[in-house]
Amino acid sequence: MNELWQRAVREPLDQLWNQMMSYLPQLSAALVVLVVGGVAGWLVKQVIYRGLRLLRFDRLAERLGLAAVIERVGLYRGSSYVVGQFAGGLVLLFSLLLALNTLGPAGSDLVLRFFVFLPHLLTAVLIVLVGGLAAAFLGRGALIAAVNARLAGARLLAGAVRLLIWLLAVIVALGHLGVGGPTLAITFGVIFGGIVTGLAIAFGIAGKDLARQALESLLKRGAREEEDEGVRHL
Amino acid sequence: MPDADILPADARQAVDKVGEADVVVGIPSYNNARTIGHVVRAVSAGLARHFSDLHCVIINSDGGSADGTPQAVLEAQVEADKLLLVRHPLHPVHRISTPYHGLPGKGSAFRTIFQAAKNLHAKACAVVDADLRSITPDWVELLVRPVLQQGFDYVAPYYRRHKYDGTITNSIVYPLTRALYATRVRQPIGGEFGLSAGLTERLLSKKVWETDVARYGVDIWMTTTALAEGFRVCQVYLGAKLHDPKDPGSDLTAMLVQVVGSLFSLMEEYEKRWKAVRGSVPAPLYGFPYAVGLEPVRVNPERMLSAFQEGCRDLEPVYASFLRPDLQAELKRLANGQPAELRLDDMLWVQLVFDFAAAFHRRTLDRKHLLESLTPLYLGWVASFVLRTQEASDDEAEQQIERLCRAYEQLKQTLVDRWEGR
Repeated sequence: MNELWQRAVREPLDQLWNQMMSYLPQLSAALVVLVVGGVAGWLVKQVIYRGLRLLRFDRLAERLGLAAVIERVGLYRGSSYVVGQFAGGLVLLFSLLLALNTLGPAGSDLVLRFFVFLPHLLTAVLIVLVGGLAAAFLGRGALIAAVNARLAGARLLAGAVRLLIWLLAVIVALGHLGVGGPTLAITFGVIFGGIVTGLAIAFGIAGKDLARQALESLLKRGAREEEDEGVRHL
Repeated sequence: MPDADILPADARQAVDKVGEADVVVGIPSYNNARTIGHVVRAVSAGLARHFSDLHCVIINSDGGSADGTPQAVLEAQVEADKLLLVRHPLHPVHRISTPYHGLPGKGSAFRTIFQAAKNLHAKACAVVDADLRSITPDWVELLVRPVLQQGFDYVAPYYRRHKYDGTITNSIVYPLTRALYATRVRQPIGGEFGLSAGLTERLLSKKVWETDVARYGVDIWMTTTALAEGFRVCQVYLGAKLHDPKDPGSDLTAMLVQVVGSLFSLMEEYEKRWKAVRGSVPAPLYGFPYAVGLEPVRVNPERMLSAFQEGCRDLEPVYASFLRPDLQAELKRLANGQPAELRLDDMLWVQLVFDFAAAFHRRTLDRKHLLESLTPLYLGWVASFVLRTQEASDDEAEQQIERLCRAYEQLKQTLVDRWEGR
């Protein structure tokens, strides 16, 4: 019984304990690096944020059009804040990689693989950012155009435009990361094509009179505006 | 670009052949065969009657008309014996019809006319629209004589218009130009102008001819340049302006974007000038202000009100990105109010225009989107104006415009503050 206890419980526990003890310095070092990195990241963020605020960077960014770009992606909380967050995030990421590296060969391998993967990740992030910009910009353009053309459901139309562009950007980004492969792109194509074809058939068959009226009114829009409103604008 | 490059080769030859001229009258055109013959006859008669001892040239600058507009210009006959001239012209009135080069638009047509006037060493240049039905020979004299005899550089038209004719001019262009540059020019984008050689040369020297000015913003650009750069400006009374309906393709939003965009761009160019002045004085007005019959205008404010309310609701997130919270709240209240009781008052309208100008300057939003989003608000102001003045005479409606102008002037400091981000 005593021997069984020794073999089944005591020895594995000892082994685990020894392994933990041998790994503890690396783990502690990694934790310390992470904590220091976190504090350094927070400090860098605060210093840059406050420094840029002091230097009136927000005003400069506004003049350079940078603020407008940030606002268009929906990230706007002040250009200084965004730059500070980005710098702090970079420090934190760097400390994370350093911490992984201190964990020994397995950690180093992870870091190596991360660096191989990094360009793809950055490209994917860039694709999503550009997609977000395009979605916000084109969505707003569609909203304003639909309002001025007095179309019913202008917000719905703008939302659909935004959603489609976001979807397209995410699918392209995922494809770049090797997630989903061509399946995602084909799925998107099938869904998008299906929606367009479905709408075309529905509009053409069920609403051919409506389609004719819509086309006629589009062609005569300028004349109709004057006719309906009466005023001469210029 | 050297001067010689601006004029097409055939126009340059024609100008060289004429040599020199005292007065040049330009007629920009695009598919105006139906009306341009009448305009050319009126201009020819005016030149023969009032400037018979001067060398005069009529230049038609055409945008590639497909309806025979240039032929109509060259073939228009003036029956001299029916003009009852006191003196017969000493010199024949030359006519040149030429296509213009550059971006399509009225501005490029003007550039060709100004270049020809410069090459001809003209002392005065006038431009008149090709779609006019109410032009008389006297218009030429009224546009040219203040330049030749009284030393004015810029002669703007002053028309009698129906109270609902020219609502972009009445709601934004006239009051804002007046408040900015402290001079009252009632029709800053009238279409008919007289210019001195000095101003023509100054306009030609500006590097704007490849921008939107070359397209449709040319009228407000010329008026603003004349006012902001200290040229002598006056107005002449031309009676009623009746013209062919606008091209149906040119819709309201496009017009607003071009005109208001040009106004706001010019505010950036002349920022120091307009910030330094307050109040306004009228530009001298010449001519005899006789009463005229105006074409009736049938108005439907309900449709504009519904466009305003729907626009306010749908564009709320767009407006939230640049309008002050109190203005947003006011728009929200109006958007959800009863249409019958809805009025967008002058003070609110002026503050909205100022916030749009500031957002344009600070690039808070894409500029085209910003200007396009003005359309529903503009329709709200027009509908409110119509509801306020339905029973009013044209003169009473003009008093309402005067009150609006005073609101623009009173609130000018708000514009300065908003412009500077305060």
